[in-house]
Amino acid sequence: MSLWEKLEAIDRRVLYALLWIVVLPVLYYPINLPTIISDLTREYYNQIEAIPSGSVVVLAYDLGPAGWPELGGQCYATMQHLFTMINEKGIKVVMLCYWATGAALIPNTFEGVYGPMDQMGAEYGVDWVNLGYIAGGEVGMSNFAMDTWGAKPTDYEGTLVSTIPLMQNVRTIQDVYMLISIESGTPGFEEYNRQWWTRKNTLKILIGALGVSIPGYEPFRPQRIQSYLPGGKGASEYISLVGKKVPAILAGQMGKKAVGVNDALSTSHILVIIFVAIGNIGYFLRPRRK
Amino acid sequence: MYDYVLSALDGTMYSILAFFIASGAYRAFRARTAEAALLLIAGTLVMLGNAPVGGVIWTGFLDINSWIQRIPMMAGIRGILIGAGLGAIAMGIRILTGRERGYLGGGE
Repeated sequence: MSLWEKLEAIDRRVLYALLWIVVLPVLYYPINLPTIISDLTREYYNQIEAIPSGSVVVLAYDLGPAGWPELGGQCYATMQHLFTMINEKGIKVVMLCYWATGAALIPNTFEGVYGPMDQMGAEYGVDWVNLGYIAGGEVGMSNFAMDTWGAKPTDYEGTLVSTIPLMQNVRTIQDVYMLISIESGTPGFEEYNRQWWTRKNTLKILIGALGVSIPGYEPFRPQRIQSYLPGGKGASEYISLVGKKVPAILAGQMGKKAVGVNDALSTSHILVIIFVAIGNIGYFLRPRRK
Repeated sequence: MYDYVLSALDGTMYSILAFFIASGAYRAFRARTAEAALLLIAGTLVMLGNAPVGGVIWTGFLDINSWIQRIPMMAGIRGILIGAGLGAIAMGIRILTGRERGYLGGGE
């Protein structure tokens, strides 16, 4: 076998090992490779900054632990950003999820797994509420759009929603200004689009997206989706933006993790591109059989 | 159970994708034909645009990545969505009019 043929057929185990070598060290010891904030991330940030005073925002955790490594940074930074907006503009935040696996991730975000998060004086039940898991997928979304109390009678801790001050003014989808859905599949944007947006076509929608899901969102932007965060890259960009307002988020564990993910994305992509180039060089230069 | 079993297993399952994608890209991205070469070039440019360091190497990668996603890719996705929508409508009409009975099961 010639050198060129060897280059064209490198054992996959070699590639796996090299991927480990370029990803693992930078995850644990980030090297702070530079990054440029994309327009999508900046628009996501600006849309949250532009939420009118007193508006109700729904933050949906439609993901599970599988999506957490990529979307966790987005969840963490979005929640922290919303807490700053509660502090600055008095917005109201309703947290919920249509994925059963997302319910535990909501308290994990603010209760101390990566925090504790600076809630900036926000009061539970008055400024924000965690409704937890709402069953039924798309049907559950439809119910919530028509009757929030009926769709979810109690919050995550079992308190009657009808006794929570914030929920007195959140009865249907018409009372919601913005939906921020951090999601990794179905139910997700398509179902919100059918059940929420069609009932209120002025609803602002922001998405926290997996990198592989981006093509599915692009046709809906900017008419229905105002912007989305593209995967782990978007998460690290957004954390750096939120970090300008809340420096603690950059110094925290999630901030450091986001920088590591950013570095790992760069090194792994570069490795793949190098190997694609090597494979093609081998393909074109190997001797051809006649 | 959730934090130490489900989270670890779920995260592991998803992260294994990185290895398969890397290996798959190395084997599949060969410029064997003109179409494959086009796919290879587009794929490489999108990878460079999506990698955080790509924009630092040359900001043009970000613009090219954005253009590929906004114009050709979106056209393809729209085609798929419209095709699937029309297909669902056609299937619905066939079922409603009794022309499609496969969902009932059974043989001849």
